[in-house]
Amino acid sequence: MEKGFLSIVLHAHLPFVRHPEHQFFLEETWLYEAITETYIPLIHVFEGLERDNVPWRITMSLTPSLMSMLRDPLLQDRYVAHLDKSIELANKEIERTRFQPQFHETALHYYWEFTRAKDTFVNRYHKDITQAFRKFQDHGRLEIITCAATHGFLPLISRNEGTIRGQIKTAVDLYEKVLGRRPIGIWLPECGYFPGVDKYLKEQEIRYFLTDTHGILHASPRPKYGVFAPIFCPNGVAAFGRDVESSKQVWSAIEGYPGDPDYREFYRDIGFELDFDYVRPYISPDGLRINTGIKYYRITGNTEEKQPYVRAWAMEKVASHAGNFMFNREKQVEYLHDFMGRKPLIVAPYDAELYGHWWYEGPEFLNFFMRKMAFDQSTVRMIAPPDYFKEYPVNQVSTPCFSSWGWKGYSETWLSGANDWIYRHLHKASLRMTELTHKFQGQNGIVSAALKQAARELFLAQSSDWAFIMHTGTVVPYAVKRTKEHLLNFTRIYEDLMNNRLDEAWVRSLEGKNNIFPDVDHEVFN
Amino acid sequence: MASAPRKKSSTPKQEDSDKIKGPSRVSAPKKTTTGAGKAAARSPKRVPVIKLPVPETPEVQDSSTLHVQPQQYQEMPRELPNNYGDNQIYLLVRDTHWIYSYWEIQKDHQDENLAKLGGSWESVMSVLRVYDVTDPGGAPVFFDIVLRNMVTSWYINVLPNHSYFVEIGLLHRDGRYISLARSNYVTTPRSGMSEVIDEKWMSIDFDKMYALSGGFQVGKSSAELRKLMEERLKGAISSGSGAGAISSMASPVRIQKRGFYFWLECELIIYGGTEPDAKVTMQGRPVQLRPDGTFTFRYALPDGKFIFDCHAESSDGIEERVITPIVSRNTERPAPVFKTGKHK
Repeated sequence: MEKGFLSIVLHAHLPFVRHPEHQFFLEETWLYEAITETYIPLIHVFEGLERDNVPWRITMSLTPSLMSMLRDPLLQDRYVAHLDKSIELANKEIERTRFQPQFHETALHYYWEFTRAKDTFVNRYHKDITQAFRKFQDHGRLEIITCAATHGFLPLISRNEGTIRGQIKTAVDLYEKVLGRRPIGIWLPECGYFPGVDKYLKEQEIRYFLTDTHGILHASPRPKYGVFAPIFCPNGVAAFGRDVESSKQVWSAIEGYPGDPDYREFYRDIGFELDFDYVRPYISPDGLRINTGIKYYRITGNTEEKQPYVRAWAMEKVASHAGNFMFNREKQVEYLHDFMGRKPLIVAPYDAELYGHWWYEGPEFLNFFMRKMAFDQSTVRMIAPPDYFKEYPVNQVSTPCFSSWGWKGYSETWLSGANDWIYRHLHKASLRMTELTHKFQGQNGIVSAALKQAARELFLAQSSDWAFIMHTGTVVPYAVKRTKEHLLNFTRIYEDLMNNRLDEAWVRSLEGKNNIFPDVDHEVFN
Repeated sequence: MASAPRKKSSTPKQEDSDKIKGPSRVSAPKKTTTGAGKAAARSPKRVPVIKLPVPETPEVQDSSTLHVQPQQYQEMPRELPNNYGDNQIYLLVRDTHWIYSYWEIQKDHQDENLAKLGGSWESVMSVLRVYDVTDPGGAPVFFDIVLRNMVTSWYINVLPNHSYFVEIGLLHRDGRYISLARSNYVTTPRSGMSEVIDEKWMSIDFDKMYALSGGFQVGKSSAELRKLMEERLKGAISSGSGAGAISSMASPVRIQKRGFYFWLECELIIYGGTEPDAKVTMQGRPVQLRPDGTFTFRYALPDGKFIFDCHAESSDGIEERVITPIVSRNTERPAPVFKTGKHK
């Protein structure tokens, strides 16, 4: 009999980036890279577990913006074109490295991975990989949770009720449409929780959410079991807190696994390193060098003299890290079990894109880990958060504390000198959205279409990603442009509706361009 | 969001992370605010008049400016309005110690109220009045922050687990005060364990449970995950031509951090042609010919001697030809030369 539980939660999210007006758009490659390096490798790991009859259980969020992109025909076709280019380049690399045995094996590896990805994407899932994840959920192995519609950071955008309701209900509606059931769990964007948000979750029959460690630890009354048992908000929605120790082992820059010298080096991509004319067809059409996904070096150590990547060594290391992670969880659970007098639950959430995209061997780590957990020990059982209630239906009632998993644990990443200007505009648009739905209630035709588009533009402006990018200083002009563009689109719809001068052709063109949530229910703002 | 465009790092990742002194610096509240808030918090019932140099902010705009109404068929204005025509103030929670306020006051509304106080700015100032309403039964406790230069937002230094609302108002030298707008209520997060204990859920040792849960690392490592991501993103940037270059210019040891580099690789292109239906092999492997019968190979060429065994056989199998280029590469790398007295 086990002494405790472990829930691994992968948060899969990308902001909605779709530019039909451009042949090539750099920021769209975020999605393509994540599909090739994270989502498809995860599918392969899950398929392998099923094939070998390994009992497994893991939790994953698929955010509504990511799900929308994965289901979008334009982006699906563009991804296939992208993948074809990757395959073509890998094929050339096999030949080019013929006299470099230290790279040749790796070139073969990429060719195999890319062609396999194409087979999975095109032939087996018909370009819609949400259905792969749906299958694993239907088999009772994968627990898919939802997220706010466009990953809006709820503590800062909740100027009015319609905003939170809109973010939550839109997400739940899409989940149901794509996955054929209603979600019972939610990943609050950036784990951003404020007391009161649970009310809107309950309205949608969501039963649990995840918070950062201090969201639980600083809850009131004091939680008896710390972060190792969920608490119930006074309205009955459960909150699960993040375990620090297991997070650190994977994430820490110093102690973390992904920094191991044998793992693949992220920053050495042939897109930046090979002869310009040779890589030209595989980089940005304007000649800007970008990642191609083909990287030949391992991290090696704190040196510029990187050594060639050896896949076999990396796989050995992955197995040993998986063993170490399991050993530490066993010890942690044994200790906590004795101390608490009750089976602890360890919740270990990560960005899904860490696995594969940043940490190339990450999906294989999960693969080894879940197999070892199934066959090499019996102290810890892997569960999804709601499975806990079968064992312990009674839990302490307590109100979690305002928190996020961002830098310093609160709102600073999304509210700083770099991005605080956005909130007055986002809030005004939220208030106006409610005003519009009230004023034009029950109308159909173009008015209704305009209201729906206004809701889409508002949601897109609310993505926490834009504020995050402004704060971290990466592609700031793009984040600013997106924020303004959606707010300006919204504002024009608002003013045109109020002045009875709606330009139907323009609204229809926006519908085609910013086509997220085709069935959005704008009445939720009323 | 995990994915973002990256530039190739030209220095080790680890170092990049170390170099970044933290996003906190980027987003630290304006120094002047800190001073005002703290000074005020120490003497909450008084109304300190603090002369503050208020930094220019992008929001500093003439509040009477009207934004252009978009007209039908007209190109959309590419900027957001500075002013929505409201008289309002709003509060957001940033963390345990800071709340953020933004507001919008129309000129006519302000003038009207200024008139009630005598109509002259000589003896009246604009203040942000911060009410601490944590104790619902107590008398309202407040402090004022003096505003200048038409700022439209402010970070306010406050206490954890306290409740606040703010007003934007006009304060006369004689103490008369008129509120122009009042905000929503907010409560800052608790900075430690709750004082409230539920006797049904008593623990023998709350402190130990807190420590085991990683409680003492909150704030330091609670967001290690995201911090690492942010540092990686920043590292990718600072190693490019931007911030990294600037910081190394300011460094007294810049000679060690010159970052000069020089690399060279060789590739070999072998190409040829034959009848389009001929059978060609290179090193024993069949070669796919283009429709015109030509072919190209491109190889990375390391140091060493390489023999390329290339065969072509006519489609009728009668004639075979062999061409065998032999290529060798030998690279010399003399030690770098440093010329003294030449740094600028």
